[in-house]
Amino acid sequence: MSALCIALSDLPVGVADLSPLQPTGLAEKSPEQIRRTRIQIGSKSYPLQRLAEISGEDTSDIRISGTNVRCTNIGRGMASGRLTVDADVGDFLGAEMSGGEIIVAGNAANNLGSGMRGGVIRLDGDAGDCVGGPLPGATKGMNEGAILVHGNAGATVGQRMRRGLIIVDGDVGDNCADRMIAGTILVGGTPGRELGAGMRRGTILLPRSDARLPKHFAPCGEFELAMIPLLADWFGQVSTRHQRLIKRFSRAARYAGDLTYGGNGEILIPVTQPG
Amino acid sequence: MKINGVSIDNTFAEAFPMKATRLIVTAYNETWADHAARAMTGFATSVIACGCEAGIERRLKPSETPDRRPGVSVLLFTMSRKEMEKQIQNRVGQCVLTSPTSACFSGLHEGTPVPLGKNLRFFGDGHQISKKFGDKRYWRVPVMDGEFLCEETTHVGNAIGGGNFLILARDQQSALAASERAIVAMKKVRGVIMPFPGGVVRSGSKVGSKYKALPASTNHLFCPTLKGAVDSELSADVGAVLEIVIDGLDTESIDEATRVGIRAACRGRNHGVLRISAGNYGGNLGPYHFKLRPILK
Repeated sequence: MSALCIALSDLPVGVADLSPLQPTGLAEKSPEQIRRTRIQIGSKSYPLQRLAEISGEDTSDIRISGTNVRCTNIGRGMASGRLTVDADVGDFLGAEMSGGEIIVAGNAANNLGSGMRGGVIRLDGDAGDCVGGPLPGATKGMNEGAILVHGNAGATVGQRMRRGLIIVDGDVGDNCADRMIAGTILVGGTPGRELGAGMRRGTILLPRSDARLPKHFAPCGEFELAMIPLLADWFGQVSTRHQRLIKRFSRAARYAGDLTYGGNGEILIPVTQPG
Repeated sequence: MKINGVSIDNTFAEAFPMKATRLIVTAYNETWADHAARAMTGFATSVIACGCEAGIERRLKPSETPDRRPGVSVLLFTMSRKEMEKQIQNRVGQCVLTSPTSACFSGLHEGTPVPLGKNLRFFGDGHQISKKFGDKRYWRVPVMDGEFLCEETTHVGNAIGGGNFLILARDQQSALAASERAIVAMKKVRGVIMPFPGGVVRSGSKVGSKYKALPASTNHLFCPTLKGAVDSELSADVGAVLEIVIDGLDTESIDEATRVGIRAACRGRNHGVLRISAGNYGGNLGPYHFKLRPILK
């Protein structure tokens, strides 16, 4: 079976809710039912066949093209399978997903992976604010799973994050790990202001030793932590490149905080080995 | 049946169901991993008075351990899951957590989960940190040399305790040398431990005693100094008997350990070994019967 390809074109102006276009939602549908799937754009709903060219039949492997920043909720609630998008996407990419994999070649708007409970999201471009954060009105952010952003990310990455892994290769905006409850965040670039403000537990990994550290974290010294190889293995399940990066933390400087809140969180920075 | 001139009795070892777990103890180097593992498996020769039977299964290379440091695989056997929980908490808490640079992980991934670091974490007095990697949770407990890393749970599975064979030799030296050869060979078998000192026991026991307080007493029928005084199992030329007790995760591993152990004991010239036998209670107490001759065929 070949992948189910959905080539969107000439979408009407308005915010499109593409949450039905994911493996979990289309798994039980016949090709005819898929063509008739209703897509809400603004205040109107349209059958999919009016918005896109559809080919292929494997609903566990869906490829969407022709999206833009107004295409929201892509992969929302997804539980299995693979969803590939070759362009920019809007808010709530992979929100509440519990399994499977989403791969996006472009940029994503806000709330990427909000309320996520499992699975993997890989984003080639930049992400907006609140990556892995809570859904509006919720008190906890992502609870499992992994998010990889190869570009930069906006403010409040990992806000109130409960569990799981967020990797941002580039810079992140202000208030990264804001009120973080637990979990792991790696920032490959430079973090913005108020990193880890209100952090209760969890780990922030900063491979760049020149990162500006917040004053509410206390330096604890340099250590060889036994958990680093396990952390590297875990990263390896998502990305072998980042697994190699984590091995640089075999000796790391540890900063504990947020001390303002009596937090048990930590920031780790690798210590360059001599030679 | 004879192996290299040694008579193999047509008998069987009678063994019992037990509960077992495997723990991986790691440290900065082999020496300290060994210190922790030896301390943890100390005073664990028999469930009769030690609470558990424990021993070192094998040394692990860094590539075989979760934290890529040298390690030791340890097997613990108890009569119940509840006793296992108690033994793990006491032994890991007092012998591994206390040992410099150590970490402790589950080495068994099937069976009933029981706490490992789940209770020990409270030693951290609120400064402990948990990390969940995939479906496994680990606890990082701050200690004076850094952190004690410990997996939250291990698993307890069904196992077998009390596999055994007896080496009947001309004298003490011959029995000891044969036992040492056997233990060297048996230590290469995975999934088994020989819990007694050096893997060998000289005080084989029978069930019961003339003294009401004792659940077990010396197996007088195999004591050479009583040959003339009791209805002995020993012929006139037997001067010493040593027993090797085997606890294993399954019957296959005990079979294999018995096979390689007896063959090694009977190896060489002028070995002084006269007979190989096994301890049993008539087959009425333990459901596992390890018959010597079929195992050696």
